[in-house]
Amino acid sequence: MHPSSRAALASRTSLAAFALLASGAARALPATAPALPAYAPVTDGRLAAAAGDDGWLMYRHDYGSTGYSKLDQITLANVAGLKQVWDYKSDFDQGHEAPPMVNGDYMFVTTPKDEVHAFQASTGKPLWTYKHDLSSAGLKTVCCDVVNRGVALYGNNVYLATLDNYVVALNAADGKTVWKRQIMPPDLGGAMTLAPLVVKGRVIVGISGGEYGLRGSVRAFDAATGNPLWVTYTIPGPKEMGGRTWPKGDAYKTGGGGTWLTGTYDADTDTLFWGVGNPAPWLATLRPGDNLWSDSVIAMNPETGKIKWGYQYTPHDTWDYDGTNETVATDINYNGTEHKALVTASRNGWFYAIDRETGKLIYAQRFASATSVTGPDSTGKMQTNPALRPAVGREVFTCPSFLGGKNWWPIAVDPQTHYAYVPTMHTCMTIKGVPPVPYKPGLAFLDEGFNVMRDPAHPHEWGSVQAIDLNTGKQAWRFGSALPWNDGMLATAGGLVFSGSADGHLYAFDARTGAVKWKSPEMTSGIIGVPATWKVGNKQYLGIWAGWGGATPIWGGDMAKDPAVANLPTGGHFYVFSL
Amino acid sequence: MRGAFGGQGRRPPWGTLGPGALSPRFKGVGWAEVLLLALAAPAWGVPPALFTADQAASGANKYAASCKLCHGKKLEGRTGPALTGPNFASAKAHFTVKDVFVFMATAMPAPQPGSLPKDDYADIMAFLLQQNGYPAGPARLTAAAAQAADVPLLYQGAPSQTAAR
Repeated sequence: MHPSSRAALASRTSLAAFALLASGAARALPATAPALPAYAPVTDGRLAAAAGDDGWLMYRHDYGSTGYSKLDQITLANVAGLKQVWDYKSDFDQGHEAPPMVNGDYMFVTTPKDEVHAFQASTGKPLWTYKHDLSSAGLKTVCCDVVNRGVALYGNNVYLATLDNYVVALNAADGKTVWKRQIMPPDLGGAMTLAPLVVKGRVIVGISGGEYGLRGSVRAFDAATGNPLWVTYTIPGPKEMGGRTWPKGDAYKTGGGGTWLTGTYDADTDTLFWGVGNPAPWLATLRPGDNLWSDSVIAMNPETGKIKWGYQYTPHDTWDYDGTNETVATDINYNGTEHKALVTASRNGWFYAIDRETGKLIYAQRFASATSVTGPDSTGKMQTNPALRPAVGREVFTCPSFLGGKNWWPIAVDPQTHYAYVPTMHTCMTIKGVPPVPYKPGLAFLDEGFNVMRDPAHPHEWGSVQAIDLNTGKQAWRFGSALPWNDGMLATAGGLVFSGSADGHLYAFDARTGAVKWKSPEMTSGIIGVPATWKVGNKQYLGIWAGWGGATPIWGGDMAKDPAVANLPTGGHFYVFSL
Repeated sequence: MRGAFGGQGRRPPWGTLGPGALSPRFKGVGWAEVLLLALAAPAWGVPPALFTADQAASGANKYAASCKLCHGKKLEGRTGPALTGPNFASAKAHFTVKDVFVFMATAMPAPQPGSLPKDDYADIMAFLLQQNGYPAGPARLTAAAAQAADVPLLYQGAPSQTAAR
């Protein structure tokens, strides 16, 4: 164990913040918190059955990445009675994006800069804290805030992927380091912000770095030992499948294709799905070809990492439309035919249903203003508008902006309504090529300049929440927002959809109609933390970070400069609610 | 490109180690101090004076207006990286003044890259150099000079001036 990577007892609770809540009444922790039972190992069987577990065992709740919980104690009828149970203030004022992972009465939640905090889930009693040592990392190739999106649980361990490219296994009971392994040095392009995924005893991670010319990869490690098992590069070499979609020479070695969000696993076909980010450099004229597997989802064998197939959302991208957004495994009926589908709301503004066995497109429908990418041809291959491609000396205005119709904020898919709930951004951009600068490790590799602007179709809204009917790809309801809506979705069997707003309120929507059934008291910051729910004993809980940050305030152009956005309060504050 | 190399008209490394090779700021320093400097700082010598003190002060104001939000009041880093210290200007990074200047002038400030006047970028570069322990001198850093400066960027220790206001 590194001397300064230490596990220590968390030393403080945070009660003062209660007073800031409009609902007023401050509560102390129960004088006699129920005793904490022994930690129950997270087995392969429990992960496979996570959809029915009382906890929140992985990033998107279950292997299908549904973001849907079967818990139904909190309902349309009683949601207005939700009250705060406990809270915790972090030491950071950057973006807090992680959902809490909950196993039994144990909760593990991360902060910016790779701290893991363990709590008793029902009471907030601090158990331990792990502070990853970043003292020798410059964080120079972390594009979009020093965030972390949570841990993975397996056996008796908690797994963390760090900004300096370590995969760390911690003992869930005491936070002590079991093993750690560094994929590559920091500051040369790579950084990790995602929650790992564990499949069949393999800890699987991806890496960020598309803005720095890093060749992306998905990697698997033995959960028990940390031994590396396989590496799959997302940008093929010249002799690999897709290799001819790159120019001859070394362009593929700096071709981007980050893998910075958690994948999805389908047990029926034993397939691991992973989203792949933008090609590098951003300016496409420098790399003729479709540039596979940038802006794609790839389907892999989880035991070997071998790519079975891929589907590309944006061929030859020049707008930074990463294909990293989560894919959800769900079954749909499109035009009278049943499909085992994979659905995703892509950065490029299109909502996709893809056959998860074959990779063939079922449908693609716009869910946001989308002019750069014009739609599929008769073979299902997406087409782009050549007139909206920037070049050196040529600036274009196109939609959506590179921040996307949706960014990393995950959707939820509800089997009761058969809707997908999609946090949506309404921006367009000007974008132009700038004189290219040769690749250098550790520096940005963009060769484009840009400005995020309002979407003319939504002159008063930076964001919205919308429900999309999975059988048609068409909008079912919509809730507009003057502020950007940069938060993930949680759907529950109580007929509710939860998501946090930049305005500092956690919203509960009627899953069928979009009517707002409850708004939390105002939290101390805007919300980008993914909501999660779990049950301990007979009680259902909801937990979420407030803590504004992420890419929007950094790269958001006119949106970032809008005083309503620029003046949003910051600071991490975790809240737990129950009836 | 006089400004680029502190008027020494020479590509780095900046001459042999010794009092005679030092920039004006270090005149009168003896061999013992040079040896100490050589031990404390990287082995390649003493950095040239690339900017003026006034320019760095002006750069500090421009930094506060356009950079501080992400990089921190004291360049300590916040949502963006720290812009001073051994992890920023490290030997491992192999950054030159040109690298960082061109990056900054094309990709920063992130919300609206390349949107500042070229001279403002030069002033901010002067401030960054100062905050990484580079000495001020008699000549201003021009944008053209910064864009061509192959001078290694390596943290020299704490600056003598105060940080951003």
